[in-house]
Amino acid sequence: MKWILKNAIIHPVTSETFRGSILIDKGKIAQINPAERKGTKIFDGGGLHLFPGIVEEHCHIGTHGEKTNQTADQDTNEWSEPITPEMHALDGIKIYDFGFKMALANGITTLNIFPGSGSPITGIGVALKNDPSLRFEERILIKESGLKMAFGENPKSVHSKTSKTIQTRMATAALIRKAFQDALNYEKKADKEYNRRFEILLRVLKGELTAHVHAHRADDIQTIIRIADEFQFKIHLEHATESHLIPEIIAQRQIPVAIGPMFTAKYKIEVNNRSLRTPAILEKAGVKDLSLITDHPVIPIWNLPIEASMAVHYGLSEDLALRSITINPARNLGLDHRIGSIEVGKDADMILLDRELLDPTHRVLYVWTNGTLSYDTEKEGMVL
Amino acid sequence: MLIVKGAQIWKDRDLKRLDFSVGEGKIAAFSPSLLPGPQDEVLNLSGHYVYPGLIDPHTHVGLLEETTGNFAGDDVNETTSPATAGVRAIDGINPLDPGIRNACNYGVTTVCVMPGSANVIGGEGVVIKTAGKSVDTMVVSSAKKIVKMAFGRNITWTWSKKEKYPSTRLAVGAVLREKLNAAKNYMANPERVNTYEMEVLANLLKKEAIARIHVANLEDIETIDRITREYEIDYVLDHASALHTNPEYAKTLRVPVILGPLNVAGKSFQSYDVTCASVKVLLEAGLLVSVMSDAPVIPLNLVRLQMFLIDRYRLNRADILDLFTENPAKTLGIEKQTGSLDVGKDADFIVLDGDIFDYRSHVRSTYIYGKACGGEDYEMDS
Amino acid sequence: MRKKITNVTIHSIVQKPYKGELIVEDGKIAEVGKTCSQSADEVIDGRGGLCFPGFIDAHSHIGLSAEGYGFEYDDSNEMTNPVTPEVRTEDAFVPTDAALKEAALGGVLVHCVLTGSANPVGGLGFIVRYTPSNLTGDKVVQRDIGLKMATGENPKRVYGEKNQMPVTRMGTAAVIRKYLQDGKNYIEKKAKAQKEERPFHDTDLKLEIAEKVLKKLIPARIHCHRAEDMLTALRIKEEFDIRIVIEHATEYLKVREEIKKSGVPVILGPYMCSRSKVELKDMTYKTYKGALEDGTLFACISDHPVFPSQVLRLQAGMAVAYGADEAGMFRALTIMPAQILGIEKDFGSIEKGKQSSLCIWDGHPFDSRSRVIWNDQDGWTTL
Repeated sequence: MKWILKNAIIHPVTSETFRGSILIDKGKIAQINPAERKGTKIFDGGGLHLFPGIVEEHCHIGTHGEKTNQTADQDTNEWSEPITPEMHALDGIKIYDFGFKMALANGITTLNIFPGSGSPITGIGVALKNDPSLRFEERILIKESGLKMAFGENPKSVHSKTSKTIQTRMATAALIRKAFQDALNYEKKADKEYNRRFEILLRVLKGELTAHVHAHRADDIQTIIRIADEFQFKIHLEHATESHLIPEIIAQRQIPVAIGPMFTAKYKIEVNNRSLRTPAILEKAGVKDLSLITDHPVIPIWNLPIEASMAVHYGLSEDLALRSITINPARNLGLDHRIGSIEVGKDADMILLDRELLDPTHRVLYVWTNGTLSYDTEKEGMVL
Repeated sequence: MLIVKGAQIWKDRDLKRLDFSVGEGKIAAFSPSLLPGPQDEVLNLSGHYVYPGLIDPHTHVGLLEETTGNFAGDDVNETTSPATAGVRAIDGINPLDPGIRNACNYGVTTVCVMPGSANVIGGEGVVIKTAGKSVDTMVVSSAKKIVKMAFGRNITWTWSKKEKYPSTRLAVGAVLREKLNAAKNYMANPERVNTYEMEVLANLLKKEAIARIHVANLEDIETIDRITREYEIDYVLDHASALHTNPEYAKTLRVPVILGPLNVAGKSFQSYDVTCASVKVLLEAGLLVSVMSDAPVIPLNLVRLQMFLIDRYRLNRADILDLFTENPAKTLGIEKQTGSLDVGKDADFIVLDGDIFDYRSHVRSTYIYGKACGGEDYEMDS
Repeated sequence: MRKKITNVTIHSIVQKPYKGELIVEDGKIAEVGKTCSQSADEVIDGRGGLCFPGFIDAHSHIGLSAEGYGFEYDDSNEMTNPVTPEVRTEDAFVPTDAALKEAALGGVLVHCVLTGSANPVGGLGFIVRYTPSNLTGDKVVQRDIGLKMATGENPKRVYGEKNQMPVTRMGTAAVIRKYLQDGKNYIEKKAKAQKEERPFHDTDLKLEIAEKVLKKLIPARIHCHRAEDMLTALRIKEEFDIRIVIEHATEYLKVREEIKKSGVPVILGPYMCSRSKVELKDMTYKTYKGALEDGTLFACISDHPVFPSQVLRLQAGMAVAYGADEAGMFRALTIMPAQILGIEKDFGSIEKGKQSSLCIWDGHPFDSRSRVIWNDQDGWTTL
């Protein structure tokens, strides 16, 4: 179905903001400023702000149940063993979890869902289009969106209690090294039985799957860089709380960094140096591949654009702030050809706001996914 | 005297172009234009906005310290007995906790610090200003005496793990009744042996203290209402996550409520119903509503985030500011001393370089008792 | 607001069923009969259904372990102390428990909510009626209606695991006896203070409740399955001269003479479940027939969530299959539990002056295919 959204201030993110209209056809953005033709349905944007749907690169929606019993519906961390690359977040997601609605109502149309950070290698993530009109399997954008790994306090505190395999950061590193070495040895074996665990690790080593590495402290960040260098695989940094202490290293190696959640207390020693200024410092050092994450439910997912606001409050450019919640996470997931900006040929995932996205007092009024109206705030109410 | 000139002042629920003077820690006078004398210090704030210092009526700053990990700086719950009226927050507060520093730097000039919610009776809370190195000098002594209490799953979670009473919600109310009854016996006994715990509880019965009760679910609110009627004690509902689900009932309670923290996600069962919309519903029901950060649950350097979120409901912005200033002042009984910019009140004010609802504006400086003691840039220095 | 219900067969419990009408005003039955003379603001056509008084589940834990929440709402037993008379089910009751609405669809509109049976001295029960409101306060019929006690396997299992008294049936009896004796001493102590005109400043909330039991203001509701446990309960009743109700009474038939002689009411059920404990070995639906024959005052109960209150009526139907009189089993769901609970002035039958607690059924309540199509709280119901 074709329709036109007219009379809006359109923020494509990847190009200049303009006042105009767009044509949507078969769920895609078909044309900018089209001529109005008779018979084409028109939606009047009322002179309000149109942004691309927001992209959350790192959250646990669905694996960590929302509005439910605390123990029964927690499936984020398989903490029985330290190395579990064969876990897949997809298998832990509660399809009807309230978190999906919470995300949609606040304009987040793409969700990358990872297993938690309780183990050195926790498992594989999945990227979903947050479109409630699709059957669940149809929402999958990338079935295996990356291998989640973790350094620092979490694997230590979990596995010192559960599997008794880790007491120190040294063991976390050692277990990861051993896992990759085992995978390489497995590959060399002539007469081998299929081992899913090793096959997944080999895909990381071959560059088919990116390692998304949870690390807060600067030393943890450098440890994973060391290991990635040894085994020659590609990494993205998740949280990277102390990355502002080593911005030159991040900039020089052009490692994508996902900063957040920015709004928690300093409840763990490893986040003591958290600063709302980190994104601005990284930008100044030349880091371009910056995205922001909420790690929902660590902080509620509606904070994703507010994190961008607060980064601007502390000196990040508005341009990079907007990119860090749209096109940058899209590119990090390998989805920038489909989502993350308002451009011809991309999925029509769009949100209409009464104020600018970076103004945290904005209201999301309408959310479209694949060109279909998926959330109408007037009818369904805000979710905050 | 300190003469503050040139700023937009938040006074009487609106921004006004006024100068004001400060003497001996209090606001002395307002005028469209004040002429400084030769002894006066002048603070020129043209282009700036001045608001009353914010008040957070429910925090654990100083007790549940940030940057210290899990145990060393954790003094929030005395979980050796389910009723510990004899313990006092003031004895556990580290005034040098970065959480308190944050409060001051980001505009919160007064906080109420209370024990946690693991015990039915947690202990005495205290109201302090957020600048100082000695907690004794920070205390706001005009505040009502506060006894922290809690109902619901935090209690049963804590005590059922220890296989100790009260392990179910059946017995939570019973613990409170037993302690209040003991205090009644204590007061009636002419040969009583003075104990601090019983004196604290007796203050409740004499209405010289208020109970501050952590509660989430509606059925627990009903139980609190019944017991407080039985023993005729004054109380405030803290969190009250589900109260807005029955606004008609809320109207009948006629007690102050302190909502929040509003910026949290599915952590626990008791935050099921937490929503920013509850602020609107309960204000419309005519209750005295304040908003808490529960810091460090929401760290106080993010105090304004909850304002921004509530603003999405397009309430009157003066009503929103009241949630963080006058209303908590009234709830804590310190409204004659602080909570608004008026002659005779403490000179607790914050200076911003823009409107407080503009996310780009910064708290340039915080004044407590008329003395500059913080601001966002202070974070850089420390 | 006066409502008239027409086109129903009235099963008033106190009379044979007949086609009739009734008038409800201010929540009470204003008139009932073959035809009603008073005018009404609203007429409800009962669609030819069967109008019954709401059933009364006289022994239930509904709302104490609200369904689908696990730990968060699991509050039926305070298993940390064998003597907890001071706990009250009202304090833990969850008025939004989905089971309440479902029970209403099964015709049960009144529940007596008791603590569980882990403790020899359990706690205070209360009576609720079904309303759609999310407040407990809107549901309360009567507070503090009895003190739950328990004998038999449950207390000794719970405290046996902790190596704490009671680990035997002897221990359970001793714990109950000591509690009641403490209560007696407490009453004397109070009386002495009064006599000497001294202020009494030793109020003890646990013993205040023993005082109520010993002064027969409330009954002890004693959980007993086995014959010997029932005899122990009767023995304690005699020793302390208190009112008791025997709960479950699984081996009723073995001590029917003794119970008859004592005049103690019994709560029979739940029998629509498996024999999961040794003390349930001789459980049988035939008990209802026996109790009816004996003329014993008894109630048929679900012990929700042992089985759902919604299907309480099917247990009564099973009793009929095992030979019990059908009209008798309807009394066991209505007027007899009302009498045991002391609410018969307001509930338990369709009579002028009683509370409007009414259900219209589309078929016989003992038929599993039937359901309540209308009740006075929800109006026309949907599943």
